[in-house]
Amino acid sequence: MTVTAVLVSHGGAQWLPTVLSGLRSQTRPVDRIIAVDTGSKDDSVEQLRSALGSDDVLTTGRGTSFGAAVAMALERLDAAPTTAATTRPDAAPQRHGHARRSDVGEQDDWIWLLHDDSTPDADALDWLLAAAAEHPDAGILGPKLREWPSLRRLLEVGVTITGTGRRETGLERGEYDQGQHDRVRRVLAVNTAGMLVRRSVLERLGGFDEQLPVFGNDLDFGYRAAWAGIDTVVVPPAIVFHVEAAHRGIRRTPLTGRHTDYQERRAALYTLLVNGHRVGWQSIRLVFGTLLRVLGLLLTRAPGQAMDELAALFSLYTRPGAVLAGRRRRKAERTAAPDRVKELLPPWWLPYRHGLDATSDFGSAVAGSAHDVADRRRAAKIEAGELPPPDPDDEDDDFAPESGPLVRFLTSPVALATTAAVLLALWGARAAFGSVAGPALSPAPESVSDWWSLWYQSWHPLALGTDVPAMPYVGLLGLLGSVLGGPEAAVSALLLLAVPLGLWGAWRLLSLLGRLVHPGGAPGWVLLWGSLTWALLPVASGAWGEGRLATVVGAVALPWLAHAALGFADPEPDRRWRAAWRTGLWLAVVTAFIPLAWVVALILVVLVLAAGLVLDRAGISRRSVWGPPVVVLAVVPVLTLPWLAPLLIDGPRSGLLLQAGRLPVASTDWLDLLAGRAAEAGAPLWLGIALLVAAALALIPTATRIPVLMCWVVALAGAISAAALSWVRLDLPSTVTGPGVGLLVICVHAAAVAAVVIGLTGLGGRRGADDRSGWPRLVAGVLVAVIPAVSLGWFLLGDSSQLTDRPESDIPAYMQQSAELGPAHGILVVRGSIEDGLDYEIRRGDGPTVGEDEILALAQEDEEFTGVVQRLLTRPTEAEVSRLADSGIEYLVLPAPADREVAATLDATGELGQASTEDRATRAWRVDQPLSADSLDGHGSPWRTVLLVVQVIALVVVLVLCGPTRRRSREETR
Amino acid sequence: MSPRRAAPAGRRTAAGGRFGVTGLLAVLLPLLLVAGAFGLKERSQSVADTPPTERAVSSTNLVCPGGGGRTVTVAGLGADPGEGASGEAEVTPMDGGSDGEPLQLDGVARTQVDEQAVRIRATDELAAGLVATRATADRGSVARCLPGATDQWFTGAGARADVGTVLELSNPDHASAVADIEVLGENGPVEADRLRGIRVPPLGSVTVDLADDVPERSDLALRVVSVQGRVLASAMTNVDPIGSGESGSDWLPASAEPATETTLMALPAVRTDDRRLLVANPGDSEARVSLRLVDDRSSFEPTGRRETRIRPGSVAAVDLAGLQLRDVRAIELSSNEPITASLRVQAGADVSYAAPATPIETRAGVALPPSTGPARVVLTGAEKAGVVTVRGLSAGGDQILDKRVEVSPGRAFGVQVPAKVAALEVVPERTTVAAALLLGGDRTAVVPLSELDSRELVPAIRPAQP
Repeated sequence: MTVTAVLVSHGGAQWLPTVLSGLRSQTRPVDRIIAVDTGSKDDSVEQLRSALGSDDVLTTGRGTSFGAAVAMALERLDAAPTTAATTRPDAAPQRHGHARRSDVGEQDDWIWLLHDDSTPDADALDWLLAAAAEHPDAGILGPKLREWPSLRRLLEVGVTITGTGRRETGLERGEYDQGQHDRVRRVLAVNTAGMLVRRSVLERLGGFDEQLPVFGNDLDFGYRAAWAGIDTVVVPPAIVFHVEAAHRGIRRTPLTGRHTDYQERRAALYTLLVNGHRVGWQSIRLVFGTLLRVLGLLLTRAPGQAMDELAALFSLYTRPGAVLAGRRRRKAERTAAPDRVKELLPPWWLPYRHGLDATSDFGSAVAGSAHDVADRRRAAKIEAGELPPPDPDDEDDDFAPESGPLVRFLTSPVALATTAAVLLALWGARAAFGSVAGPALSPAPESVSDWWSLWYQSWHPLALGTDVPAMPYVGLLGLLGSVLGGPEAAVSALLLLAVPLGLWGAWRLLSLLGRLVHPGGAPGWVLLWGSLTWALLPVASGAWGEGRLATVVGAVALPWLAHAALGFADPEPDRRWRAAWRTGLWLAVVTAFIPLAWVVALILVVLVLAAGLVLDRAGISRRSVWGPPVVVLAVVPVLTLPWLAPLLIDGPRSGLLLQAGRLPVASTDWLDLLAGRAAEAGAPLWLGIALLVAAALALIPTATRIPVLMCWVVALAGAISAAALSWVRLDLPSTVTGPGVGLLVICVHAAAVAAVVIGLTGLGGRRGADDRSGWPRLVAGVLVAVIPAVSLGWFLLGDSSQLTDRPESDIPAYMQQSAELGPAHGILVVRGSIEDGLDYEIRRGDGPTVGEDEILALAQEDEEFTGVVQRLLTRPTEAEVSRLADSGIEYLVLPAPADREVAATLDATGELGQASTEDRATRAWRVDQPLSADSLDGHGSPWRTVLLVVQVIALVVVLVLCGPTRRRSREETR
Repeated sequence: MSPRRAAPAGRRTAAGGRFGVTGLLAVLLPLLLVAGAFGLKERSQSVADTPPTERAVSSTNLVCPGGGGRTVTVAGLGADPGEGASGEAEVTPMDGGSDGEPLQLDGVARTQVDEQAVRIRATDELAAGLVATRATADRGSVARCLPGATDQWFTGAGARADVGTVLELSNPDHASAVADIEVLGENGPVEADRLRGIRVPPLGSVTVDLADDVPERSDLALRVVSVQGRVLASAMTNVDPIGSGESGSDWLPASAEPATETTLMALPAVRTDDRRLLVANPGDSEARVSLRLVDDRSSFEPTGRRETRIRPGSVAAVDLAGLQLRDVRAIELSSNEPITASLRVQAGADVSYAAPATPIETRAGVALPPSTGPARVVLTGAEKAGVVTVRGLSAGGDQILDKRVEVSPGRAFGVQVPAKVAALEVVPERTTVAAALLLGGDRTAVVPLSELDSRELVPAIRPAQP
């Protein structure tokens, strides 16, 4: 019996000395070593020649495949069956005794394949041969592969391939070898690194497939062997250490190219297709599986890998000849029963379990991704020596007691109080259950499709037809409504959950702020105080009660936005980029409702970058420092493109700053700003002022004064922005308004909340148990506790809500029903008097609904039609009435109190029929002519589709880029 | 400086100078925030009311109430004072079906009509400044022809034997009209269901005898509201004092709309004590009414009189006993609540009503029936000192009167009108003034003058705020 080791090398000079010494120190010495070098550029050949002599070191070109290299070695073996330069050491100790090497026939020739990055343990060959003796049917034996250089982690103990082409080792990632897999058993394949194969088998199977130059040839070989009835056995006691240089991309050859993923994937697909049992089904499954993997890879920001996947599939499926030829060759070799092969394949459900694992890994990464800027900053500072390492004793507190979550919940007063606050807030928001409308909130449309058509149409058949684009929030509400099953549910959910969601976001943000200020973080009670006060800001401001959806959504998103933006302070560049995309997304959400938010963000970014230029020019000039804020600003316009572009190009430009909701925009004066009022009807004024006073008092403790001052800077920025932007004048066709600074008012007070939380944290914090009874903390705590308590009480019991089920309509119900028949059944509503002027409005369908308000507010006045209305109301003739019919107007209504003169004028024309009304102070007429909605048909813009596609793609891209930092990208950017 | 700062627990132990800066900032930032708040601009969002604009009327429909004389005098005063207009008007009997007849007009024209109400229509140039009057041959009852209205008050109607009012509702438009009549009596609002929703056919008239439909026998005030279209109401009132044997009738003129200051003017200078001043209080609170008398020299409050109290929603008479009214030209009523009023004067069979005064701002005009006696224009209620020009046109269209009167507040002025004057125009300058025409002779009649609707209001139209 002879064992010839075939060592294929390619630029592995760094590992070769170890490999060669490993070979030499085998307890069962190798009979001969033939090395094949495939065009190394380092000194591999010299090393090999000096170790093995020049006769058994073959060299070949760089493009030589592994299979071809092995074939060369075999030819050499044939040409020179024996060589003087054997490596058998004469006095090798036979440690593993007789039994294991007994029955191997002397005539058997064995080939032991090794890579230049794999080194065998001293008794590897011994064990392999012993196993060969025990399993005479085995034609191929493989060792246990362990990671090199760690030497402890398991890489492979035999491999198989799943139906999706995944190389399945059956091991956990990074599993340590503790003998847990040490059972000699049949497997589908073993790695070529350390593979001991009978020469006869190698020749019978025709060597390795030339289609698989580097990767996957072991699997294919094993697969073929299995079909040919040759057993492959893994022998775990035999150990080979393997670098997996090619797989990890450390080694690049012309054969692996730069795209190792492509090569591996192509090999896997090829292996499955040529060896698989039901190739038709398999090929279809692989297409879909590949697409799914591509999607998953794109979602986890691995576009290169995704492209490799796709390219691998493409290259195989466009050239089916290779596969068919491969199958033809293998068909001749097939002798084994399919069951014997099948039992070596992994169970069918394994790919699905992997998918599930990957998804849940991704989910937990998302959940944990935004976490702990504070911890990372602290860690970075400790690393940089700016902070002393933490005292391990301090950490004891952080370990939760050994009890279940329910017990912990029930024994935590903070948790119970938070739950109670959330439940009370839900009860306080009861007016928002079901259909809801308010002074500043139109009712929700009938169906979600109304929102979607507002989103995708460039021409809306509202009033007289208009091409004013819908605001971007319509798409968001469309998504939400589609998920929740209706527009009413979407609006209702936003209002109902405003406080709980705000509480959650504020809690996250404030606890992060607390930990930035103090390693122990803010105490639970302080966090509860802060987040509850914060969450109640939109309620106390009156915005909630009036149904100012824009301000409410902005206020709810604010802590999340701020939390994302704090990621800019992360020490890791990649996390800063992630934070940029997340911040951009949140800012886009807020901007979708309140376009002013982007302007404020722009001002802040400019100011911060300018300050950075002055204070730390070197730091700010790094791309990973100035880039993320710029990304935030750039993301928003792209995500809001279908709204932004038409407004920029065609106008009306005043729409660029008009916030969502029914006019009028809430007006704010100086007292409103100080009291935190964002609408007419808010909580008692002193409440908001008390909060500012508390925030001012938080400046007193010197220990936390600097972070509290930073909160004040934010508040000041908010107040100054509000003051400056309140001077912006938006000229709408029907009125002049401002952009509305309600959210900035809430910003000011949110910053005050943060200041108080930081102040309280500093005052008592978690310094030590003995300090907890400090009276300043107690007094301050009791005083500030009044604020959320009164807020919540007012929310529950006061006149906090002006929300109703439906707005009161002064249009007769039968007209409303008729209007819902179609756009041709419009209603012309005229209000006012001759003395004060008359306003006209054209209602169609179910009247103005959420999403349509801004379009109607911005729609340009049709002066010609205004003239028609003027003539109609003063000297009506048949022409005006016909014009109404042509404009799709069925009824003319003068709601109570109708101007008598106008009514009498309209009565005097014979062209309008009287229409009945519920009360006599309301007057109505019917247009007795054939109605037509033709004039409402606008010409949609073909560019709309382009803009929408850009928006959707941008949204997906941003969502993908928001994802958590992946280990690989972290390693790359370090 | 502070012991806390020095403690190692304070993470950011800063240089000593820092305290000064942070302390300063701690004071400065809140102050800056408050200062910043004062920079906020508050925007009131209420849409400003836009006043209507004016333009010359392009068509005028006047309704001359039916009954009481067949002579209709029509005058075209033109769009501007002193201009005069000529053209063709159309006179249509308001029986719902008759065609109109043309009436050529060169300044003034007179025509004889049938018993029923007629509509006089003029378009274009003639439309502005079209006035007309219908009178009995003895000029005892004279009615102005007026455009259709939506809200009219009649104070002093009756539904009983001695004072009986027949209301005529005329619709000058081509679409039918609906009117409601609300009735106030001595004891408050009177339920009169049959006076609700009275339908008036296009170009037709409907008469309502209050005696048939109102179960209240006290003095009444009527409010005629058109709930659909426009109607012109006229209230022919027959006064037949029980036992006197002498009955007379005249049109009860429409009162001015309820106001706290109401003036009744051009009191007929007849020798009688049969004067009845009625006041209606349509409001919800008691009205306390006091009066002042205006003569050619001054205005004064009669001494020793108490306020008259009128219950909400009711009509009451004001006691005029003991007042020397012979030279009085006008009675000014002041009230704490809006009221309407009328003054009836009866001398034998001659019944007439004082004219409700309405301020004239630019121009008033009236057509005069053929002369049977002296005529006089009474001016009063000047807002401030100013000049009033009274012009008269003859039946041939020539200007035969052009008198400028300097008026001042607190007294009444009179201008004699020559017998040949067939149309009058009263144009105040630098003031507003109220005017009425007092016709004497065998019978007396008072014709109120009011602002000529030669211009119409065009409301401002704009898209509503959504």
